[in-house]
Amino acid sequence: MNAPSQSPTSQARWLWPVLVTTTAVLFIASLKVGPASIPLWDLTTGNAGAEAATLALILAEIRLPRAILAVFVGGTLGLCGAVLQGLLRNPLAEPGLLGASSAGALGAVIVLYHGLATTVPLALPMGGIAGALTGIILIMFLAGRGARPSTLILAGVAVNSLAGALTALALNLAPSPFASLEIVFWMLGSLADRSFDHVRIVLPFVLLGWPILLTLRRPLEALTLGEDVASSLGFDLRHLQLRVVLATGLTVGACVSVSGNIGFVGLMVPHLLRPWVGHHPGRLVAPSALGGAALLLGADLLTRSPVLGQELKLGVVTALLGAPLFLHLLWHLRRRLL
Amino acid sequence: MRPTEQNLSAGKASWPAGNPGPGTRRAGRWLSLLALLAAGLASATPQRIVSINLCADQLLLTLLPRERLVSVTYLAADPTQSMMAEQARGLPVNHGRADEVVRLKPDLVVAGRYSQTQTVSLLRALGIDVLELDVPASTDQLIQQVKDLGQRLGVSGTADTEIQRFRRTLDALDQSALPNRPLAALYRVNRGTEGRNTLIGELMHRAGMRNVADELGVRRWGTLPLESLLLAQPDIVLVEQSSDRQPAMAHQFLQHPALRHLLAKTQTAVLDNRGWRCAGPWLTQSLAQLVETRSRWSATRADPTPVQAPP
Repeated sequence: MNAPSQSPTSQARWLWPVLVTTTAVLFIASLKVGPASIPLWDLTTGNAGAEAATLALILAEIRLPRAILAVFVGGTLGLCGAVLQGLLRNPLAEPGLLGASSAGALGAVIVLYHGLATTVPLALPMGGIAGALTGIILIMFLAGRGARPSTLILAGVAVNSLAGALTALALNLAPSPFASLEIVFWMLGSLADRSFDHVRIVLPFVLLGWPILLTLRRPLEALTLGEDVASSLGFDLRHLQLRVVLATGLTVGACVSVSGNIGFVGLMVPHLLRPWVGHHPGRLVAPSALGGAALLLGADLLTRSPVLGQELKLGVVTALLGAPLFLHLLWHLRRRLL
Repeated sequence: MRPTEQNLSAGKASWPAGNPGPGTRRAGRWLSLLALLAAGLASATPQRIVSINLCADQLLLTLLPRERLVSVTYLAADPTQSMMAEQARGLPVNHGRADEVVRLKPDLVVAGRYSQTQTVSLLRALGIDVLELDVPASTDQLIQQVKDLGQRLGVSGTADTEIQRFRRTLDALDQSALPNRPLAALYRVNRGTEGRNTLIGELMHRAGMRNVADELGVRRWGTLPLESLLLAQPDIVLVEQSSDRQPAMAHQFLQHPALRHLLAKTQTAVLDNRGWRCAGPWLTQSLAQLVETRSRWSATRADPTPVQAPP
């Protein structure tokens, strides 16, 4: 665990193998663990016995889409956290705290409960995307590049509380009697009993957004030298900002529309990985995608812990993990500012 | 009801029974005693009833003559929420708020026990008589509730008739003694299920079914993860359907491919949740549907168990 102090500017060589292995192990655990323990090996070799058909159905239609969604949603949140922190040069930037996620949830809620989602194809993710884009654009206007961390957080608080209030309003006005009970899902998120229908909703937007985010390594790296140097090196900052806003809106909006608002992943992952990439915001981007996937797979496994008897909401687990880190970061920021 | 109203008017008419002449003193004493009794009865029997709870609405519509119901909730006349929408049509509605209720000057407000504690304590502080209805967890508790309500409202006769009819239908439909009890799973909206200590759990037992929730240790309400439902390999799946078809997450879970796969190979019934969300005589309709589902199940088996025909 002393790699960062030994080589402060280089990336730990073992980072990728560790991330890949962790994600793979958690993915397989995610397929295996639940109310039914699935004997993966016996299933593939045909030795699962009388329950084989049921177990195969559970594996293929419940566990697999759930694990894939955890990878997509977690990866998206980690990726967007890393990119936003690099762009805004602000350690507190992430989709949840900035309000992009809750604005996305608002968009999805409006579309879903007022009937558009059943009549117009792709209306649900489009609603989420429209919401997330609105949220992130609002943040950029309120506290764009170079704003102090506290300004950014205040802007995030404003967008978050507005989106939260409007979500509650939209659910109260919704014609369905279940709507107001479902606010818990939209505020805290869950991947329970999602299906490949939801994977199909998210997939195109992940395929569209992730490549944009993953190729931001060099401009983000250049940005660490200052805005003037970055533009003299040929990186158009307005263009960079536009790409970040678009890709964040697309991916976060689509993810939130199927998983609800899951907080703190985009905050935690870049912070945990930063020391291992030599504090380079550019190099942080790709590992953060895998780190986010691993974190959400792990958090989702915890929600299914049989100790609790009942499934937790995913956002509860990520908040329990993330909030202490958030407090720790605030504490350090305060010391630095004094 | 008529007799109570007569008591009331009689009580008021004979109240000023002062200064009886000599000779009529004895009769006068008797009369005033009678009058007191009548007045006592009248004050104990509330006339202007307001309901601020959907379940109370439906029980009151069953037991009371329309003219004694001053107001019911706005849900009572909504056919997607209420079994008594037809009967409730045209009655003034309220939204369960104290300020609306106070203006109606009710003799008695009937509320739900768990959902309206703030409103109830406010109404009581304003000197209004409030009756809180429990949420019955069994048909026995329902019968007791109807009996108590009938006494309190002075309509014991109607209550007894309803109870007797309810008991007769329950007994006629009862299949709980049959051998070969199929395993049934109740899959509610938002993945909920209910165990033995609930109304629907009891109805499932009476329809001659075993309940997956009981086997999973759910005594009252719980969540039924889709995987647990599949693993239980039930013979019958009872899917709750809200009769409003408004879009919500709640219904999305019913679209899950794994659930559709299960429904394709089991006996299935779609249960209208109005029939058992509130306790009342209409529970027998849900029971009849469960019994019908069970008999469909036994008809598909090689050695069908004889099923008593519903009356």
